[in-house]
Amino acid sequence: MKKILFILVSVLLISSCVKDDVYELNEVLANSYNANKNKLKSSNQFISILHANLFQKALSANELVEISRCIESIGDKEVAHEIILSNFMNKEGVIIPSDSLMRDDLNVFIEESYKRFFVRDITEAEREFFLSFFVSHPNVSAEMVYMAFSLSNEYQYY
Amino acid sequence: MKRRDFIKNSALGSAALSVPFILPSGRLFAATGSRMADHVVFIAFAGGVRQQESVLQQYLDGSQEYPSAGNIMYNLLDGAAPTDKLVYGNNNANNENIPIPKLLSQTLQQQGTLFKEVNASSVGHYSGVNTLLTGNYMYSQGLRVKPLMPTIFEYLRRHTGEKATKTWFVGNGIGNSIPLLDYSEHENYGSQYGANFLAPTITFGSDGEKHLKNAKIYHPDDELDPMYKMKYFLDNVWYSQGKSLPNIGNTIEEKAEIKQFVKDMFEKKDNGTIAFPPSGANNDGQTIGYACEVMKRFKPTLSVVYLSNVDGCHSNFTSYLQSLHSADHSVGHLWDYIQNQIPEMANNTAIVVSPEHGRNLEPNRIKDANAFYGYDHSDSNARRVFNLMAGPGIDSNLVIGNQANGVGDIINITPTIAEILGFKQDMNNSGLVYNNNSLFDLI
Repeated sequence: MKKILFILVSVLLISSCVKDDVYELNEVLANSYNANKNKLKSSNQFISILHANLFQKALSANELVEISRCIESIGDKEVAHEIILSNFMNKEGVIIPSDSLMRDDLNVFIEESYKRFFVRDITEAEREFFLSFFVSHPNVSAEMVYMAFSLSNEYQYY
Repeated sequence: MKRRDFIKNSALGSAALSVPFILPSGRLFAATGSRMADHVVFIAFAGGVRQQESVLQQYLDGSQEYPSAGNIMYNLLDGAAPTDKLVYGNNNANNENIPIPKLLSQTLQQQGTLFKEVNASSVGHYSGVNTLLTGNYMYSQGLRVKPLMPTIFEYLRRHTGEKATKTWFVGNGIGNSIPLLDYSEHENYGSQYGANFLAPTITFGSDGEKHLKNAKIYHPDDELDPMYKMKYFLDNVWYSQGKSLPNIGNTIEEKAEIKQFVKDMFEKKDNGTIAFPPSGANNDGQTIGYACEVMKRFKPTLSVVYLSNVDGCHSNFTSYLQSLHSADHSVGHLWDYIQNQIPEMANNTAIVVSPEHGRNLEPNRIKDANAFYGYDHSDSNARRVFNLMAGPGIDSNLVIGNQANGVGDIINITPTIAEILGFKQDMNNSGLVYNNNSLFDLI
């Protein structure tokens, strides 16, 4: 009797162990949506980073002070930044892809722009917007895109 | 009329009455008061001015124990100029000191009302100008912090719906936290009602020549429009994260006007056609020249101009006298320019002048090249200032108060400007100014 009972319990235990389905995800390396930016850049930080982004080299300490003073002298910071930025765009040495290079692969261009200015990956919604914007605005240049990114509010944060 | 119809009509009528009337400016209600003038220019004059060298006209007699008295501010105040030991003018090629010729045929004192003895409880530059612009003594506020109480710019824009380019704050530099005074951190007001700040000696000085002058001018339709569309999209995405930046609310058109103004000023500077005072070589004179240009271009409802060259008094009394004399000349030029070169503002502008504080009774130990002692600002004499106002509806040739009987306080300036521009009651209703009285209430 004991033997039969033992066999019955063993059979029940074994038959109750059913392996669950496991759903696995491929790991994707992605920066978070806002890249955890929550601090406003100071005037000096904004100018230094902007210069490094556009010229791929650091701004001299003297120029940094001078440009910061110029920004402080104009109350509307958007206006001040736009004037400083357009002044940069008029200088030699600014590194911007040519328009033909940009149009050759818009996908790569916009992905790299997000990484360059926002230090994060583009979302699909953002990609969709820019790709259709480039189609509907065939004369948009890389310089104009860089201006828009540099003047954006997200670029003011780190 | 049936009861039901009566109720229905009454309800419709009440609803019609209660629907706010939206002005073209976008605000709901017009300011409740009437305006005395459509424009106010307020001069925060000029970095700490002693009563002795200004309204008391004691010149060297009241400071250096040298018996020469007289008026070195003869565009603002009545009184004969000193005749002995002239050091307050400009030195010519022969090293003779020549006072700047009088500019106004009638002094501002003759054209308006002078408050001879006014209290200024704050004797620091930033706190003084802060008080002038907020109507509150900000005892608990330090430097490098925006005003905690609303500024006159914010009251004006919030209660009358003025555009951003109708309010300007022109400073003679960016020191002393002055750029922070364009708007406050107050939760009911803030940046969206702020003024356009400009420190022209920097913007159009050597720094600006190097980093602002060569700005590209983008085509408004072909380049700026798509650029702004992309920025708008990027900002919208960012805004969904709950982050926005302080913005004084210049529209795209207003921003374009400001950029064009900056470009034009560099051209005018190159051509030598900026509206500088005839004798305006120092920072204050330069600042007044560009303030004239701002007024000519934008016809602001409220312009505040901050002058501060006389602060050199700490270490150079001679330069202080020259700066005081020059600031008087510059303000005279500004008033003359408004009346003769800006038709939209002529006879329709009020001017208010007030130092942010005075200077000490006793000198410090620093001597200048003329062996004159300097003066700081820390004792009770530094709390003594004058106020002056002129323009439509303001009594002319009136003097209020004297040394023995002071009338007025620098906290009365904010309500005074509000009264001239017709929104004093709205401002007072906010309950945020320390004293509801304007200088008019003290006459």
